[in-house]
Amino acid sequence: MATIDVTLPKLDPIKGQKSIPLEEFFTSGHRTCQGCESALVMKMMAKAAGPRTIVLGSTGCMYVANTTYYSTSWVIPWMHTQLGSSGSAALGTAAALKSLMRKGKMKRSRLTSSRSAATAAAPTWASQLSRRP
Amino acid sequence: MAAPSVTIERGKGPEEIALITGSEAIAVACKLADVDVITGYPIRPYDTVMQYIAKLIADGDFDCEYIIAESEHSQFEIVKHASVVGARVFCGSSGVGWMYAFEALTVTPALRVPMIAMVGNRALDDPGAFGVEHNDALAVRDLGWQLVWVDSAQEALDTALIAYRVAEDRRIFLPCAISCDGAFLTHSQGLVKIPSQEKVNEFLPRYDRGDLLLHPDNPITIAPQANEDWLMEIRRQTAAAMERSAGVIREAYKDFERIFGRSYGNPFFEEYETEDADVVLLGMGTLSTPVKVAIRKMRQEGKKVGFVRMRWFRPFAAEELAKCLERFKAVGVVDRDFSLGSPFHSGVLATEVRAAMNSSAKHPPVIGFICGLGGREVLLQDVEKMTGIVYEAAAGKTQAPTQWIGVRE
Repeated sequence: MATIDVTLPKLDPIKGQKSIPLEEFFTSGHRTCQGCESALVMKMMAKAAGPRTIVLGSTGCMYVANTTYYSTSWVIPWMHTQLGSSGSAALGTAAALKSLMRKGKMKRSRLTSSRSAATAAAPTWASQLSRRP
Repeated sequence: MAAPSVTIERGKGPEEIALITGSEAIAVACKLADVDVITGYPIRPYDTVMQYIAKLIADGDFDCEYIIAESEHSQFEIVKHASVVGARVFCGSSGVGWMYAFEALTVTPALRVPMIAMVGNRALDDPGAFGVEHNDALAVRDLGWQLVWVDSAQEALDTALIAYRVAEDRRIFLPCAISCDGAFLTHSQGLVKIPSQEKVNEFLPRYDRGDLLLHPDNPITIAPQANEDWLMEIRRQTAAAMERSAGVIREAYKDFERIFGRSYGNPFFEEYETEDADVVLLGMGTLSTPVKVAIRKMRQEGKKVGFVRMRWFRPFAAEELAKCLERFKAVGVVDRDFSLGSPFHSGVLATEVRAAMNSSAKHPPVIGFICGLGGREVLLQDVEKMTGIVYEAAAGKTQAPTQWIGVRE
């Protein structure tokens, strides 16, 4: 079993409005319309995924409106990717983390994924390929 | 080391000598550079590098995540993102495969991703051919890719190491495409001195993105959408990186010579028999072989002709090239590419050479030749014919500015 250098925080599933944690990982700084449900979904998903998450955002409202230079609403790391590339972006991110951790070039932590049930324009959350240690 | 197909000599020094193709030389360079993530998508003639990489990994000589993507577009997108998270990456394609990745190719330099790619130059569809034509790699020439053409397996290996050093320099962070002529370099073998891992480790530092690393410990936003209020400033920054790259290239070659004991002289272009030449031909890639053979033959006949082989097409060493070329009575540019509708209906290289010469006080005639497309050989008689035309131009007889050589009329 490979040694783990960084332990991920334990995240409880969020069930119901009253148990939503207060800490924001998708905050103000975006330019979506008032009441935008996509932005609301991003906010909730970011809370569910937690702080040890990398977000890949393909082109769409959730790119243009959320990250209009020079503001960003993402508190966690986020990178733009091409319209049809969210799968490739997540795969590349995961492959790099896996390779760097295995080769001792990066502190090891578990890699897991939480996939949203949102639309095709939603970002893809990095990343997992489960691997035998 | 399991990499070389045929090891013909174990040198006494730390360098092994092997008889390997241009593709295999690039694969060996990836192993020496300890690349972390490689994606592949098969298209001839680049895909031989995929086979050599796969063998190195399967034999346990190379630890690397190796992913066969479902298209070139995904192939280049995957490594683009792997690079941003800190992985040293390698990719590649040929011809229309490279074109299929074009959206990814466009954003890669703008994202300041130091990807190294091998282009096995191949004629574009349609009508297509398996053989060499330079238009595939040249298609990205405006976008911020560094572009270099090599003409031997040794130069391919050395240039790959230099490319990682230059591209991953924090002052640059631009991708680099190394062009190897399809079949003539990708598939043909040459003797290659393979350096030791110790020397490579001394030459090539670890890839370190610093504060640009995408990681939960560094929660940045990469590539937010810009508008007319900020786009130009961002482009200007990328342009500044390309402007700095010539200096970094020079430093890297100097250090390469110091560590590996191999000197390439001027990094940007090679001069062959130009010291006392009246006229020169200029070109890129493996056409250097028939050209040099023909030049030796013509020299024996008393013709003072030389050859300038461009290595780095981007950044284009315009002032240096102009200073070199203005010495001659006429210049013949051999384009293994086409540029339909361009000034004088020339090739890409001729147009760039003429632009470079514009800064010179002297203006020797520049004749553009289109030759060798689709892998058609550049024959010795073609070279002699082109030289003859250039001599005519040097003598003051007006020549057509662009001539297609070796074509059935």
